[in-house]
Amino acid sequence: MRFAYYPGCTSKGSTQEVDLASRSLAKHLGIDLIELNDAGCCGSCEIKAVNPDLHLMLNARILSMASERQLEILTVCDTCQANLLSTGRKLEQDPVKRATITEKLRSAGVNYTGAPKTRHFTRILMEEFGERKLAEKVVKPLGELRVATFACCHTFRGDGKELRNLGLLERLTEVTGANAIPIRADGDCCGFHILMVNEDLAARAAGKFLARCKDAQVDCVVTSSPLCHAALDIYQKSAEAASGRKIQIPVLHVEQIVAMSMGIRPERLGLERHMVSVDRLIEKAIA
Amino acid sequence: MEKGEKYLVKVRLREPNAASSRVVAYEVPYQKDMRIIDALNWLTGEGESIAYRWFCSSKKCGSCAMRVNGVPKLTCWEKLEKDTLIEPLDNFEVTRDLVVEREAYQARYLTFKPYVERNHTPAWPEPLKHTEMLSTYKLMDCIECGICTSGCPAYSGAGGPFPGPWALVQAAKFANDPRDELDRSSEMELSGADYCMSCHRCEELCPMEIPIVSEAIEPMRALAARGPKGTANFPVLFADNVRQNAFVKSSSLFLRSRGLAGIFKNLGMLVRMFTHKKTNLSVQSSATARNQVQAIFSAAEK
Repeated sequence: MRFAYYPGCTSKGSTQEVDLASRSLAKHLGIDLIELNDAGCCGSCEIKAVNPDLHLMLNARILSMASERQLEILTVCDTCQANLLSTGRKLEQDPVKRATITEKLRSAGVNYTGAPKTRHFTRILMEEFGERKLAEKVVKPLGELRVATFACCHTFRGDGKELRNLGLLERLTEVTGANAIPIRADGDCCGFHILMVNEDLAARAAGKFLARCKDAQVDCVVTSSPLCHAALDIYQKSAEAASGRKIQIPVLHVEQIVAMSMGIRPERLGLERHMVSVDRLIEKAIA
Repeated sequence: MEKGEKYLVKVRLREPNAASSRVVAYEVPYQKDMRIIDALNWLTGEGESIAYRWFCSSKKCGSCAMRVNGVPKLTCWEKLEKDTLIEPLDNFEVTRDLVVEREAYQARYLTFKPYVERNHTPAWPEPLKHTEMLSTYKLMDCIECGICTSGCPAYSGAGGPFPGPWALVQAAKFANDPRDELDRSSEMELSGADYCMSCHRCEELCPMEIPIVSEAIEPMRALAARGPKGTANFPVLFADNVRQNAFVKSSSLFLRSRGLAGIFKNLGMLVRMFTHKKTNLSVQSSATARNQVQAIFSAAEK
């Protein structure tokens, strides 16, 4: 099983642990990841506000890099996935736009021929292996853990939504033996996209969710988005200040808990990189 | 469901200026095709005292929006369920029972000059293409029900930093109009339009299915980013960062967007990020990647 691996900027920057954990998990499962080293940024939610065509072109370039290698894309970021999917859909549905974008890309040395299949690692695990096979690989069931799952809004809203991903994070969490606790409300958002411009407002949004996690006495939050991870883990002190609560809840990437349950050693999962310590969680999970 | 079967309708009631509210449960005899507004009308017809707004009963006036089992909806367009909790919209002050205060909000978006402003007298008949009006057409579907703003996680009241999607739809309706000649970048820069969290919750809730983010909020963020003070130019800084590095170099983006004051304010967090190996200062893209991304920027800007 081989995929074009597009980790995204955050997984190469402030949440490198998701890159490490994804590589470890992929190796463990016999998945060959061919990283799109020169892929660059998908534009997140910012570039489309500056220049929507530029946003499409950056994503079409990433798609074309995978197409050239005749590979499907595996991503570990819900927002990257949404941008790649929405670009593929727009260029498929709008022949006039596709002609314009393809021509502009050609002038920049990029040959766009169409969008390859793009899936988040969680969906690849569930579709290519399935719950039964994955459960068979679990050697350290995380049965004691109460886990609040947090999928990114871009998974189920906006032009790049992938409704087939709905519920996968919860089901994958349950595969590890942990208990997925439904805490995320429809109106919850981690606030990541305004962290640089209004940290207080972002922290207020993250704090609302984290305070409910505290009330429900969960052991950790698990997310499929490195952006949500950054907002909930790196900025958790801001969320504490905004909510007026001491929270201290570890936030893990879904790839990390799946890998932990399959016996991959914590040292290979970048757990020491988390801002909120995961030491007690690991003790509880491994005990 | 059988005609006349009793449905449980719970309504959150609150007297004007009261500190707290209470939920009162009623039984309503079900009728075929009964909507939530029908249940409220039946209850008041029976003499119950419940304050709520409604007018057209046909998804047009936007006045009957309420929270139904936790989700903001138009009560004239929703089927009555067997067990229904009806509450006032979130994010607005409650005037009484299910009536919320809309004036403070409307006063805020009136500052966005919600009208077409022209600097010259247009030719008559004025040449106007349908394609030029497409964006405005979509935004004209807004019935100002307030549901989008009620469900918005970034909105925190009429005096809060983010104006909410409803206000931005009103602003964009005129800013996107090809006949409008007003430079709205200054007012948008100060509007808080750049505080949208991009969660798309507003689009999910909108009963008129308006593409609020792509047709209203993103164009208003773009206008704000072009403002003369440079206080809402994060998308431009982000794009510059990608142009330069091919990917986002978060350390330099943080420095440019937050400045030295931001670094000082977050010094503790930044040191902890460094000790937790969260800052990758050495990461660099290849010359090939940078050249190609820069070529894409140039091609897109032509």
